[in-house]
Amino acid sequence: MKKKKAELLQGTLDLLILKSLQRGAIHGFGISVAIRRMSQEMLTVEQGSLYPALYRLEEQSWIKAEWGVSENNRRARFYSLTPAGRKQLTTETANWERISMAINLVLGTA
Amino acid sequence: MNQLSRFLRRLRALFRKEALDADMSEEMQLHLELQTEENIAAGMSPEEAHYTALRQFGHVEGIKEQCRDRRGWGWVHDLVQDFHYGLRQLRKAPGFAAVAILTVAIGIGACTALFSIVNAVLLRPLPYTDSKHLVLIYESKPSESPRLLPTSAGLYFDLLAQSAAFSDLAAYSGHRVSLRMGNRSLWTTQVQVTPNLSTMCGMPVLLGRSFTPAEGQAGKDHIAILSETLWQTEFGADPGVLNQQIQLDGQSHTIVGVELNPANPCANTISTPSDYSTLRQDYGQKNIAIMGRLKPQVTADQARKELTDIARCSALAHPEFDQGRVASLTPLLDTLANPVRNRLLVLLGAGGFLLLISCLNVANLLLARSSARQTELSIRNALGAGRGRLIRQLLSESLLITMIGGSLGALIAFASTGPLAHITARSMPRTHEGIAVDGTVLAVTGGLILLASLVIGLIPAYKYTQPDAGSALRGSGPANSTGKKQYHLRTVLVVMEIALALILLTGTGLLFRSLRAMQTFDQGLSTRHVYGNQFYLKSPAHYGTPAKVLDFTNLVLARTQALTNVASAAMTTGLPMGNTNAVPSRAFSLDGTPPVPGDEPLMADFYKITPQYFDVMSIPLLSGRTFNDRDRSEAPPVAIVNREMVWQHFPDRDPIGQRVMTIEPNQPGIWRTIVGVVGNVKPRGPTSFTGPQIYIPFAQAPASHMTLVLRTRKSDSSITHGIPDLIHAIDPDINFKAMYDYKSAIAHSWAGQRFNMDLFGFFSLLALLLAAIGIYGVMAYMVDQRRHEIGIRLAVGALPRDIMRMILARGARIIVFGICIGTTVSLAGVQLMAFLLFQTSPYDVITYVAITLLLSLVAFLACWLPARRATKVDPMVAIRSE
Repeated sequence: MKKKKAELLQGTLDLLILKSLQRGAIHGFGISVAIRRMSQEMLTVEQGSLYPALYRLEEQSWIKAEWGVSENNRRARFYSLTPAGRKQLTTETANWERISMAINLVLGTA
Repeated sequence: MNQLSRFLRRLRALFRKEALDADMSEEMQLHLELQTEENIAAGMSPEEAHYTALRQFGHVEGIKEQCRDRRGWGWVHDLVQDFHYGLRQLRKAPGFAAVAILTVAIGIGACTALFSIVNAVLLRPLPYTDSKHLVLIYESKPSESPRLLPTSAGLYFDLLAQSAAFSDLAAYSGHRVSLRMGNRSLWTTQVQVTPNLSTMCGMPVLLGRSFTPAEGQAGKDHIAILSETLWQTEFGADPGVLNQQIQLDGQSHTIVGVELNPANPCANTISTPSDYSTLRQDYGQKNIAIMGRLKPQVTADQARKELTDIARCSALAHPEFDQGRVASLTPLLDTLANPVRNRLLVLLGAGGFLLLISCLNVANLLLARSSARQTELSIRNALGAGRGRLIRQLLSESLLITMIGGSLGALIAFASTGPLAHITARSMPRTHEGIAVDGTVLAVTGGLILLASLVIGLIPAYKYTQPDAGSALRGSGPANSTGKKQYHLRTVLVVMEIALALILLTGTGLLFRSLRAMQTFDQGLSTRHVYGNQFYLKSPAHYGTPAKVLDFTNLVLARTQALTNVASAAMTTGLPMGNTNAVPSRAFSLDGTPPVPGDEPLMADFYKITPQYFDVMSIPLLSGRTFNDRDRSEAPPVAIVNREMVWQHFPDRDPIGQRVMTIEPNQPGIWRTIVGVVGNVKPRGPTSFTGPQIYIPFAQAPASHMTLVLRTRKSDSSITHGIPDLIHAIDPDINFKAMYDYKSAIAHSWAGQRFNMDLFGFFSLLALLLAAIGIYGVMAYMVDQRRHEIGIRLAVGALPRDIMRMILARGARIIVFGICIGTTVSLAGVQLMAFLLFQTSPYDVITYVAITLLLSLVAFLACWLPARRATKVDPMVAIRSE
């Protein structure tokens, strides 16, 4: 099956990262794998833009990072949501739903 | 909280750059490895998997840059990097570094030293509590002169009663007294102060206590407070002076403390309390100065207006005392600072010129080095550094030089504040308080360093970051136009340096002429071979009557005259240009013109002399006769006046035979007949005002405080060593130290001029040196650039003489340009310093010509050395090399 790649806006990348961390701490590679999996291979994060986004989110204190050991015994930096980040996730999700509803309305009334 | 933790995180990022970078690398490395594993699992070969992973990730270094930039502080890291690079460059070229740093040190050091003086004198608040609110109240006659004149006690009491602008007012007045303590005796100034003066000013008490308000009353006022300077110079800062008894003009007082004198902090004075109650209604005697403290909300202008109103009211109420004066006030600091403000600004300007020259010199040096860097800069440009970034880098390097050099210069300046305070103490107010390095001075030094780095750095930076990478990358050879452009720019800089050096030298030359004029000015007397010393006859038992004093003086004079090397000797009560105020003034009146009450009394400098005085001092007798032995106490009272007295008061008749009355304190006036007229004598230095001067015979009014002056036949001062013994042989109790050379004693009257000239001279010598180095550098560079061409010329038959002439002609053009510009600017601006000159025209031709010759000579020498090197060029070597 042909994979459809969609271009992601920066704000939505943040949203996806936050969502992927909802269930627990993951390291950077794991986040990109998780997003690919959750979107059923439709979304592939450009890995180059992943890390700047991660650092940006960390600076805004929505995620925090700790060094830990990965599944194959290697030192990795694990990211997790902060309480402020959880709140931000809820807000952003609500925003996204509102916007996509609005866009659907526009497209529906062609 | 969020903001704070973000800021803290950023701050941490500033200092942990390496650690954070390592973390980031490790994290991305892991990501790449995991991606590679995934690719292998998907079936690629390890090598293919690795490259695919890299491609999937993106440009690793670029991403790392992005993340790094996110942390902020990029410019700080760049700056540190540029500094490291600059340091490496300097270490590789120690000669250049040494010259550049030293040059900057000279410029910044000079300016810093000067500014610290300016700060100490003009800007620093006085050492009293809240000194901004202290004002001096005075009178003046603006139509006549801007001088501050004393006011009357009546005004003081009026202000106390009516003024709302002042929270406190104090009055004081001073006069010369003789002070005697134990076997010490000296002349000093007694200041009668209202007891609140020192508490109003809020000055610290150094020893003992201040006056209490009750002590102003008569009967309670036999106490005294020494000024700090008096205590230090005459009493050796001995804490034992407390509670000692001293005699002031015979009246006994107890010392209760030591304090600063608020009106003039470095003065030698002794204060006694007085409430001036006896002068409450006195508006006529104008001998009081008033100091006031403004209430916190009141401005000086408001207070001045109120003061004018009150003064006008009292003038209307007492019209007989109205002399057409106006009352005004000035902040206390200004009264000390205003007289020297302009002078200091001129000196500061000279320092600024020197700094400018040193900056231009270093810019020149940097330009010389930058041609080698042109390639490097173009490569950086091609790799992506914008012009701004390149300029920032060059500026950082020049900042490095100015910071090192500036710190060095500033340190030297700070170390020299002690000696500077010493040197300037005589010619500048307030420097005796010490020249402190406080926040203002440091801030100004830092500002100068930044400014210097801008001037030094921008010139090469602008030139060498032109966005034309191509031609520069191809390299610069002798035919390259960048070489010529650089030469032109450096020539312009050197022309400016020469012009500035010329301006400074002109200033020095004019000041030198002015100083000579002061020193050779006819003061009305001759100081050659004249020696003097003062002493005091203290014991009332021995010298209680005038006759006993006379016996003593006659004996001393007789024995002194008898010495072989002594041409003549005399006693006098005052010596012109000795210390300031050494000659007392007295009021006098003339026969036939009685004084009008309310008018200012006529004042004259007053001397009591023995007959030989005019001979010792070589003061010419213009008419009549000098005193002789017959002018004794029983004889008719006589007087001799000076020419100024005749001009002012006897313009159309012969003064000989006229009568004048001299008025001494606590004594009735005596009518004296004028028997002679002598030439004028400048009482306090060449710039002082010559007024009427009256001499009366010592024999007719012996004083117990006198000065022995003598003139020796040859310039041999050894004879004066015997005088103390001679005096002690007559009376061993007299405190007579060695005699001083009168000529050197009066040198302090031009101490200010001396200082100006020394400073200017020092600066202009440095400027000359720097300008010479500058022109040498440019000429050497030109010879270097044209080596190829010179070689060809020599090879085709030019004589070394022709080469020399060619180079020198180039140099001469620069010098002539510089001199023309410098002379024009000097002529245009010299009026700014004309007020410093004494009897010297600012357009004095001799000075300008001499300075031009000097500068040309030095500059020519600086050109000649590279020119000589040019003639030694080996044609074959030059043609073959590039």
